[in-house]
Amino acid sequence: MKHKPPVWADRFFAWFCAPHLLHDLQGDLHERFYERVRDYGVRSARFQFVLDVFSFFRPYILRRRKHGFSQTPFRMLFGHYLKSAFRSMKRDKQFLVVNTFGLALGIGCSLLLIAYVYTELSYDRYVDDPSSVYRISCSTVIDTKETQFAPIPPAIGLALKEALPEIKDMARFMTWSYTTGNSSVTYQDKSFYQQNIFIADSTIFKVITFRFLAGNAAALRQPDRVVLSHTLATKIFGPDYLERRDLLQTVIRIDKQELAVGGVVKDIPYSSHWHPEALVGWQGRGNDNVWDDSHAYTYIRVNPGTDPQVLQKRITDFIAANENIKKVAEAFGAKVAVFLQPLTDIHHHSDKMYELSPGGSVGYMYAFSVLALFFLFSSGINYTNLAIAASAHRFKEIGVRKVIGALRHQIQKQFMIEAVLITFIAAAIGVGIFYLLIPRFNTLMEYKLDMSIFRQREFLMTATGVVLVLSLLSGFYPAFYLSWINPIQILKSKLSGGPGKAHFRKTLLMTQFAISAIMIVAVLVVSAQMRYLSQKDLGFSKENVMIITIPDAYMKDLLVLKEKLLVVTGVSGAAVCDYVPGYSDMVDEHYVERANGEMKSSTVSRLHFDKDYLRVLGLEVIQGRNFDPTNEADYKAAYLVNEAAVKAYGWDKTPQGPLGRKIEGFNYGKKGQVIGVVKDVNLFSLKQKVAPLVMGLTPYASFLYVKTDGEHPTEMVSRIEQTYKAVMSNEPMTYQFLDERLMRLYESDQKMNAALVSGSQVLIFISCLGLFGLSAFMVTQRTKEIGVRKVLGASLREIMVLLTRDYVRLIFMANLVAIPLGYLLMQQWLKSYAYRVDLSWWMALVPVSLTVLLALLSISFQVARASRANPVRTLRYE
Amino acid sequence: MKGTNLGEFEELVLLTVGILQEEAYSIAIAKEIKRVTKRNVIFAVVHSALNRLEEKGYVDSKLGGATQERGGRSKRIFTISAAGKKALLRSKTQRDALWSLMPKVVFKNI
Repeated sequence: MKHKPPVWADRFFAWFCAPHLLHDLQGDLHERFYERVRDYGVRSARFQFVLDVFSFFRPYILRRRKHGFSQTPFRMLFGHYLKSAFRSMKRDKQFLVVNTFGLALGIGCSLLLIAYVYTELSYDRYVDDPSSVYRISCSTVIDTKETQFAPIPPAIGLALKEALPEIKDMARFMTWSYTTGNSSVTYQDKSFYQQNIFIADSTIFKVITFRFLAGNAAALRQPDRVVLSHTLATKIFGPDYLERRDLLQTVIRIDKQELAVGGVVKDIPYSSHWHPEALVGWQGRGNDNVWDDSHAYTYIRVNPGTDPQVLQKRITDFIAANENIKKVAEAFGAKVAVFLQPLTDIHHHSDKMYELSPGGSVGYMYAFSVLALFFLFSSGINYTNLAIAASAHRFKEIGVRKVIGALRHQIQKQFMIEAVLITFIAAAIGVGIFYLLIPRFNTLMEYKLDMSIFRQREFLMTATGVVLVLSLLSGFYPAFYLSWINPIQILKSKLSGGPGKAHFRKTLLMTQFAISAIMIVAVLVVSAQMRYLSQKDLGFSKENVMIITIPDAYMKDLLVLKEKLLVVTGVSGAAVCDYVPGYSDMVDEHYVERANGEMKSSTVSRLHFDKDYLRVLGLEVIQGRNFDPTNEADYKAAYLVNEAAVKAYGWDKTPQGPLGRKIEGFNYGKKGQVIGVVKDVNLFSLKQKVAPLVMGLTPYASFLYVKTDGEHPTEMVSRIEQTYKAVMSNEPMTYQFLDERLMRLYESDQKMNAALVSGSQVLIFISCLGLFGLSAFMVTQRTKEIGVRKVLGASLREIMVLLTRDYVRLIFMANLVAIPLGYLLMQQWLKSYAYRVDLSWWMALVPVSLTVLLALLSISFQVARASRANPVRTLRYE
Repeated sequence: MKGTNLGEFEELVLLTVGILQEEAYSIAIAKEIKRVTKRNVIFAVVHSALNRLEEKGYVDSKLGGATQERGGRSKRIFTISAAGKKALLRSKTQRDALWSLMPKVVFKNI
């Protein structure tokens, strides 16, 4: 019995349970707990225990407090406060509705953002003891240019494991399909493409935690076995696959290789940087002796108590002394470093080459946390403002309370209780709003949140904490303020004007609108930048280019397909290339001749394509010539470079020029000469300036670019698909459009934009809601004043101006603070782009006019009603 | 004494107490009800039913043996009282009477 039920829950139970029931009930609870530990595991048992404890929250079980002097008044008063809170809520229905709804909206939206941040923070923590798991990655430094790689050469992991006893387990894996990441999976008559298939060491199960639904960890020790994820198994065999008795003997085919199912594992949680769908044994597929090619993702689990810094030192020493690595480093002319990276850091701090998944952005997490704070702040301000405004109706109540002997702290308590009560009602509605918003959020952010997050204890506690703090903060000022009032004044004079200290409220209101204005600036800038990116002339034609992915198995049919497509009506060109924007960056080591004739290694972007590529994309050769496929030598010894490369290597400064310069590709082993220079264009992301690029000729590659005339796109696609199917024996066609693909490079910023737009809408709405409520109270307070003015001859327009002037001034001031702030903020963001829009004056005008307009709209309804009212009626009883 | 009528759930619990004899403590009762009726019974609800039954005088309880799993706390064993038996019988007779009046036609198409 090494596990214990949660102590706090146990104590809580002991606290509220009546003494005569405690003994046996607690026994029952514990017995159930151990039963569940046995049947469902500790986590679930602990959770169920808490549920059980709460389900015992029943009247007959609750402890009856002993009657005593100190207890009774408290209980009485507490009940009394609740009662008066409910009564005043009933009286001020508008206050209640506006307030609860504003709070609920704020809470719902911020919960969503908190859930996002929470999920991001919990990345890769599903692994048992995540703090003892590290990834080993490497970097090369050539000419002071450092390039970091997520995978390392497979031999290094093995050597480290043998040399260092701190490493308890080591596991490597690599992608099954290099080129497109897509592999065909076939079982009986079912066949489809699948991504995320990996070749892995059998020790992977010791390092990363998997739960087996069938089979066991031994499966990967045999070379002809495959371990499937639950999702993939369902996709192949249907939902009842676990009932098949022959499951573990069933043979499926992956890219034509026959593999028997060796096991099925539960899907790895969404918040993981690695999502394998199938794992195949390393033996016979991986090469343990490769020292110079980084393709093995290597993870280790260290012995408990290992100091990562000491281990890192030992690794560095080992690498420095290793002969094989020395040889590789010499060959590249590079400094090679190998370093540990904690598993839980990978998601947030990884922008290395060949990452398994795009990393999460820490910037987002900050942005979203700030946004969540904005929401809470804004709705809290609403509450405070409205509560103070509404208190005008309650002055008498407070006066009477004070006169009959209520102490200050008792009045404070009363208003705090009211705030907590309303906030928790709002929180309940907020959870409902959260539920309604999830699908929209998931589509916008391409994320996977669901209600199950409330089952996570830490999240639930955070959420409750946030709501509690919100209620205390928003209730604090009204409570403080109202308890301060002098009862004699209130009761003596018929105090009808609003509370005196209005500038606190005004400051709050200003803050609220300043936040809205900042948001509007952000939205304007981000969307302007997005528009700029999509419209910017990249130097090549990105419209009407369709990119077809060619499966590895059909590579030999590529040329036939290309020929056939060229005669399809509407197709004006086709070209082969090994790169699509947004897939992995194409970086490699090359030896490049410098201006002085010296050969030096260098990390550059590379592309391989055929002779038609430049024409299809409208790229220009400005010096030398394009590839010539009839010239056999061009395949083996010819390179094109871009202008940036010419500049980077100093060729433009020598009379000899770029043509004829020597380049040696490392991985591809091609030694060749520069035959031409291509005009600089932005083939990659606009976040970077155009970088040196080396291009080689290839007849075969994974992507076929097809240029069409752009008319009737749907029919076009179906015509191309028909041709494709005729050539590729009915394989399904995977395709995308170049312009869409390019925009995906800025996906994370587009998501940011979408989140900002929706977020600012809600924020502005909350602010307007507050203003709406506030103006209602203001108007009722000034009804008589308005009446008098009307009698004395003020026109409708004058009264309108009088009532709105203050607010308009406030909002102008809010903008005055907010716009420079928003500008500074957005300038920082724009710095992440090498090519960006300029901030212009209209970006300041829009938030000002928008906030003023919305504010006027939300108050004008009340004001118009008041100014039209007949003064005879409002002044009759005076 | 509170009202003497027997609620549907109370009847289930009372019957189970009768069935389990000396083994009738709250967890066993909850499990047995779940096993037979396939309903998802909340433990606290069973306990509250037992508490009501005891208040109505239909069950008696005494403290029984303790196990290590319970942290050395003893179980409360429930036994059906004479009044409880009577109440059960009364409810059964009432139902039987009603069943005997049920026209067979009603169940024809099931």
